[in-house]
Amino acid sequence: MTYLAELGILVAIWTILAASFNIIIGFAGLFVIAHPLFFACGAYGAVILGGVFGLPFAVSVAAAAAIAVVLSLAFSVPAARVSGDYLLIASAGFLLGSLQAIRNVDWLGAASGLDGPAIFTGPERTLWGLLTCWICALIVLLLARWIVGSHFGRAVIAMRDDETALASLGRNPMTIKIVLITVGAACASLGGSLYAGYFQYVSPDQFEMLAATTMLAMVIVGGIGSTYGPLAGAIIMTALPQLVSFFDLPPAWLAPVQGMIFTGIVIVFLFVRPGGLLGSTTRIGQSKVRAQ
Amino acid sequence: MNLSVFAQVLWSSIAFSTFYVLLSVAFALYLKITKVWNFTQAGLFSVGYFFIYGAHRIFALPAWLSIAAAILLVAALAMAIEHFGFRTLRRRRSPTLVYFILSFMIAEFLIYFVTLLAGAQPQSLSASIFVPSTPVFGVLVTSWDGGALLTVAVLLLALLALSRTTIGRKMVAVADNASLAELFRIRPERIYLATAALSAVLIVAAAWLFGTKSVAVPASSLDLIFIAVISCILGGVGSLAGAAVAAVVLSILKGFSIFIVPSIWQNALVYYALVLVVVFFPNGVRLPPRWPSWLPALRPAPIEPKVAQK
Repeated sequence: MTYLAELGILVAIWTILAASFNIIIGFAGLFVIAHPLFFACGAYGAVILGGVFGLPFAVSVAAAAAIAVVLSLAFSVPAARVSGDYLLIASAGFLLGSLQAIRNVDWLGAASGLDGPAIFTGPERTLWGLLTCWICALIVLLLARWIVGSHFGRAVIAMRDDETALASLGRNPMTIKIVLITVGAACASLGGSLYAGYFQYVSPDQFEMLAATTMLAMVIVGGIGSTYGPLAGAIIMTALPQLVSFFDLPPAWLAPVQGMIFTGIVIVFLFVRPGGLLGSTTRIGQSKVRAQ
Repeated sequence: MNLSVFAQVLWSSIAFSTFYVLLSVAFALYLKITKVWNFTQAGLFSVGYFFIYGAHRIFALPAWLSIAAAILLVAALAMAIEHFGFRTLRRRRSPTLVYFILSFMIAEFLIYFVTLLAGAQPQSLSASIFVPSTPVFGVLVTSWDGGALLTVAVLLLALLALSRTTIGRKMVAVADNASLAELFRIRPERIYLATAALSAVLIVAAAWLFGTKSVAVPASSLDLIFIAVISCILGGVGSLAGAAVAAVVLSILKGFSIFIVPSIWQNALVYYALVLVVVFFPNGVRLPPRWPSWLPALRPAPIEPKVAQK
């Protein structure tokens, strides 16, 4: 039962991460894959502020989110000058460089990572963790839904479809980009804090490019640009690799096999159902504007 | 730093840049002709590297045979990715994001596959990465340095010679305007396949040079490909010579940076350099004009556009 509940916690955390990633990549069409860094920000923030400085969990979550926002601004303000492939490559560089930096800093635990404080304690630990994570996941999903339905959301969609046309209407696409990346970063940080709060351990390896691949896989499988797609993607992509553990494979094979499953599913979806499970079949697979 | 140390670091950096040059040219070539940022080259590098490792080190096949077989395998893989992957996306008129996701996912898939087969332990392609050296004017020159520089020179000259042939001209035509080239009965799909095969040769050569100088794990190729991306952007997207020169300059900068920055910070700096280059020099570094502005008399007069008289 605990195994299933912990799987549920993982699904909720991945839903938060995938939904916040979807705000940036799906709704706005911004190719920023530095998302695991904001996830790391939340996780390290919760561990250090809660464990070392003894701050209450809620305060350390808020403070970690503030740090993630500052970090996202440090990246997005200069990087919003470029778009498409260039933005994507810049964000990949930012992620990998920052992870390398974390590995070299002793007070961040360097490559071996840090142990975190116990946030959820007692016999009901798993239940409280499950409830908290799912409430947060629901809030992030509703936030994404609200963003898409609002005036701001319509401007975001307009920016994704034609940035020049939006600018000609007096809206500033740069501001929209920066706001979206910041909101996504804050949500990802929340996911990181919950992860560290429940599992009580963080290391740079958890936030590598594989984490970005996993989020991307969830968004694509669920349906890029769809509000509840990340939830469907998180359920499938968290449950499927668990099947590998039932095959009693050698430990050295587990990570590569899981990685092959993730990447293999994304590749198959890109060709067979480019819009994902809950998305439009043409949204990502075909460019309507170009096709016309 | 005295002169002999300076000369030694400079020489070692230039020799070390050889595999960066080959990877950067391979990446730039594919980008120039197909307009795709092909990160699958990272996966292809790992496949080539560990295929040579298996054939040469484990099954004791001769090096030339292992390299030739690796070229065939990697070329076939690259052509399959082009034919079944990128060609399908082109037909669907997919947006750039899809190309990136596909290329990155294929690269990751190949790296995981190689990790599954070869493990995550660092491996070298030669029995020892320490080779005898000879002092030349106070600089230690190894046999590897000479072989690597010769390999790069031969491959780049072959690429230059290829650009003078019919297929080379077709490649240039497709790179300039694929739709227009099609009107002249050039089939871009075939040119894209040829480009994939050509890039494979450069990638396997880079893998061999890297593996005989250093050790690698399957995921090392991602770091190398990011250096190729930086070189490609710094040199100006679409310029093979620019990418090659940028790769040499980066290697020299990396070599000399050990006197300023501890080696553990070098990788982080490379990635942050990538961010700065992409954000602030997306069109590459433009060299200053040949005639300085303070010598206006020597500057050639600009050609005035002819205005049609009514």
